[in-house]
Amino acid sequence: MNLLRSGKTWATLALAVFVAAMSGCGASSPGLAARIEAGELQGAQKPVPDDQLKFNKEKIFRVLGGWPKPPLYQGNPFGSGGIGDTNNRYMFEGLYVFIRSTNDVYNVLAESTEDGPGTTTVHLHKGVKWHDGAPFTSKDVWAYYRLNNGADVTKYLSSIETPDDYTVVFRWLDPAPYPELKKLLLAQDLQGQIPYHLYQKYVDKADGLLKQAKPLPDRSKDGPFHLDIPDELNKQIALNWNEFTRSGPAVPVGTGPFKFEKVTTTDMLLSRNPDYWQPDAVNYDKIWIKNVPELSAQYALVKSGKLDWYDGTPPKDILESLLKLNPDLLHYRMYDPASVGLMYNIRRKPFEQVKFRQALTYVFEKSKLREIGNYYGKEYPKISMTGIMPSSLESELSAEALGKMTDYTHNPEKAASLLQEIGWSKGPDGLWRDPGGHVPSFIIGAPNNWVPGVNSAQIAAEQLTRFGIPTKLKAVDSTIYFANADKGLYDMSMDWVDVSWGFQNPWSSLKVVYWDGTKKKVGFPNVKKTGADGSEIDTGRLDLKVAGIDGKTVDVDKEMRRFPYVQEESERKAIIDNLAWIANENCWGVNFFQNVTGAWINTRTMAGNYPMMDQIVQSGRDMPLPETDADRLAVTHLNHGFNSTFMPREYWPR
Amino acid sequence: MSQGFADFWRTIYRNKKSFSGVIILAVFIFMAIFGPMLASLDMTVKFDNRYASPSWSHWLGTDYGGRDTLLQLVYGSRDVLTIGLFAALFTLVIGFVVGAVSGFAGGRTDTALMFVTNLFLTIPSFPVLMIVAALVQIKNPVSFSFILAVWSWAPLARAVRSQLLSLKNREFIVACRIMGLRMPYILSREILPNLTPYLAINFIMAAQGAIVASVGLMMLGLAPYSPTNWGMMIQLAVQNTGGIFNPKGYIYLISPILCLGLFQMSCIFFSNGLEEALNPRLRSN
Repeated sequence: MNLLRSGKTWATLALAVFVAAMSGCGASSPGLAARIEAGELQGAQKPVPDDQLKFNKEKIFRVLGGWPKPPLYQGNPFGSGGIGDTNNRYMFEGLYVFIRSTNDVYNVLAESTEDGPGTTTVHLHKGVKWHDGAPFTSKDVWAYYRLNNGADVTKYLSSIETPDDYTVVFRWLDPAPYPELKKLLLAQDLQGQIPYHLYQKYVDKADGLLKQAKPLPDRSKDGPFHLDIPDELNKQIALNWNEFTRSGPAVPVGTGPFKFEKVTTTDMLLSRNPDYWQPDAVNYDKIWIKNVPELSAQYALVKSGKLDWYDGTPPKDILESLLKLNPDLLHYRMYDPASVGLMYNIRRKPFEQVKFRQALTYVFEKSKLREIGNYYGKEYPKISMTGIMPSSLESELSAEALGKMTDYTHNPEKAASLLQEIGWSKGPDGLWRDPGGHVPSFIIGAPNNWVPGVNSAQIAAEQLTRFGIPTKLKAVDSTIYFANADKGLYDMSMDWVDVSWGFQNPWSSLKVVYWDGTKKKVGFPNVKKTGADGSEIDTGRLDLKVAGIDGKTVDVDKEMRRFPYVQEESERKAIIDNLAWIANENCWGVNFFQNVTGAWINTRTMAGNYPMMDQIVQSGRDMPLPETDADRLAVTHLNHGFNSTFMPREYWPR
Repeated sequence: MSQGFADFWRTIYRNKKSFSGVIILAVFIFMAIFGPMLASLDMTVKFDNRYASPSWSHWLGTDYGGRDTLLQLVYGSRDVLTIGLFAALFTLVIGFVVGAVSGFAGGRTDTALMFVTNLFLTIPSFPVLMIVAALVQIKNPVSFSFILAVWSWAPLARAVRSQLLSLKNREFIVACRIMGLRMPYILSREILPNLTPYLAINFIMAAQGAIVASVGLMMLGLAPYSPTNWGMMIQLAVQNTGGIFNPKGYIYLISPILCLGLFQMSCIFFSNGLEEALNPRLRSN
């Protein structure tokens, strides 16, 4: 009684009640496993009627995102900093969407598609409106490509025609890319981003400038719409593009299901587009996006159920702790079409020697790298780096090619023997010496904000050091890291390897190896030519001639250029076999592990047909990697098809 | 000299705070010098042994990779103390020389040196360090310390200059100048002893500042990444445990925080007694 009379005790009780009320925040609910066991989620689920909503009555979809902070925020998705990558999918649409990990393509603004001889004709949905009320027409699609003429697909097109307001004809060059590639090249763009009525001035100018260019004489060079654009014209096109990126508008104008409402440094609010052309596909009234960069703060939001959906898989123990602390959370894992890996810089000695690179590759114990880098990832000990997503190796490569690949499974004895073959020797101190008797020390560079990369690179450095090759990690600020790595400032560089940034097929991922990111970090040579003044000019074109799988010399650049036009699947497979074998054999890098990422659902506030429902209870809400195509697709949808689909239409407030 | 030394230690001993600071610092120095000789650190990943609780074989448990936390702290102490002490030394030397010459010489020299000092005080260090990171290769703790000192000497230089301005017109300095003694002599023999207490305190504070700042430089890529640096251990612990989201990792998280906190506390306690020990006026009081 005395206790109850004390003022402090009352204050404590009041505080406890307040905390309990805040943490409960509305109606109580048993956890997900209890609901499943009680039979609450049997059969196909349907959207909850408004009057039966219990936990998300305001129908707000709450997620995390990032964007340029006001006053820098502006509405042009191509402007400086964009509008925030994660918000693209809520406000903008393309003709199609594709699922990055499966390459499934679905119609969005395109109602139907016809493939003719040398053409792809797209019929647009009628009644689609931009957020400012203007109709979306074929002219907008044409405007997208005339202004954004650096888009990948323009290299394969001769023209885009608009016979009427709702028909777009893409005319392909002859030869055209193979059918699957044509579809994906079109599907990877968000064509509903450049409303012609807003950007007419810039679109018409770009169109006029392109019309001044002459056609290329042959297919040995690339250019938008097969045009040979001289430097001076190119500068004018770039200038026009730069002016366009600075031209606004103040807020985004798309055709998507949500319209921009307001933005602050920490919060962005989108509201349902009342004129959306698919009204039944929108289950939420608002999307509330919070900008919380700090990981610990993000976990706090997930734990407390303040988010409906969260992207990413934290370290194992944190993941298990979050699931334990919040019984409504459900976590799905999925393969990421990207691997964490390391690239050797062949511009630096002794990395120009293939046997040295192979020796180092034999030193790495990939299971340890994966455990620390991303416990849920999957290592493939046999390969070095192939240019193919490891989980697709067996489906993309022939058994014969796979059988001929050098096996790089951890083998320190093999590493030592290879080093001895090239004149290295191990001293009494356990350190390896080069043929000149010098003990080298190497640096692995990694971008400091990339946790799986930094963590696994640190272990890689320790493994090499323990083997007798002193190596240190430099975790470099990410704003300068990539430029430094491309310039060859580190002996070894960490980055995503065997990755495709757009659609997931071998053409896309081999391009990264031989023409894009990997090429720069490894330091593949380019073809040089002599300028008019006698100076040496780097053409930027790959100059790599190496032995292929059959022992004959392969001009890699030539093979890459031929690849997209090969219509015969078996011939394409042979190219893939050869280029992947070459990458593995030459050991220009090491695939540490294929990344596995994840998505979280707060089932207290977000309802729907959760994938693999029958495994939720037995897996303890930490779902295993999906094994069937249907499950894989459903789980990938949960991750917005890796930023290309609009996920909330498949789920609804509870 | 021996009498002065004895007086110094007597004063430190009487100041309980300062004495406890000395004891803790001595433990850390012992740990840095002899620790790595007594036990070897194995950084091999033993994932199944991660976040182990304290035991006889792992006194402070293990980290996210199953490696011994105490041994990492012991090995890290060498790096941490070397960087701290060298960075403090460089800070002190640069700060004193610039401040003293500026204050003593006056005129154009003073204007020029203070202009440079103000530049270092006002230019934001982050973008400059980014450029330095791209240009400079740091290969040992001494060069690492020098880079740290480059960004911390300016406030000390201004403070020393202020002290100089008040000292240089005192009778004993005026007498030295009338006698025709050269500036280096006056600075080292007459002025430096008067500033010793102040410089000693700054030395300690600069050392602890450098240890904290070293993590920032590692994460910029200016220096090789050292997973046993205490600051880096804290960063890794927060990153891998999510701060409070992994109960198994609490001891691993708290250990480097406690170590760094103890080191900073010992520095502050020690410096508290330093002024008293080195300033005869305070001691007599």
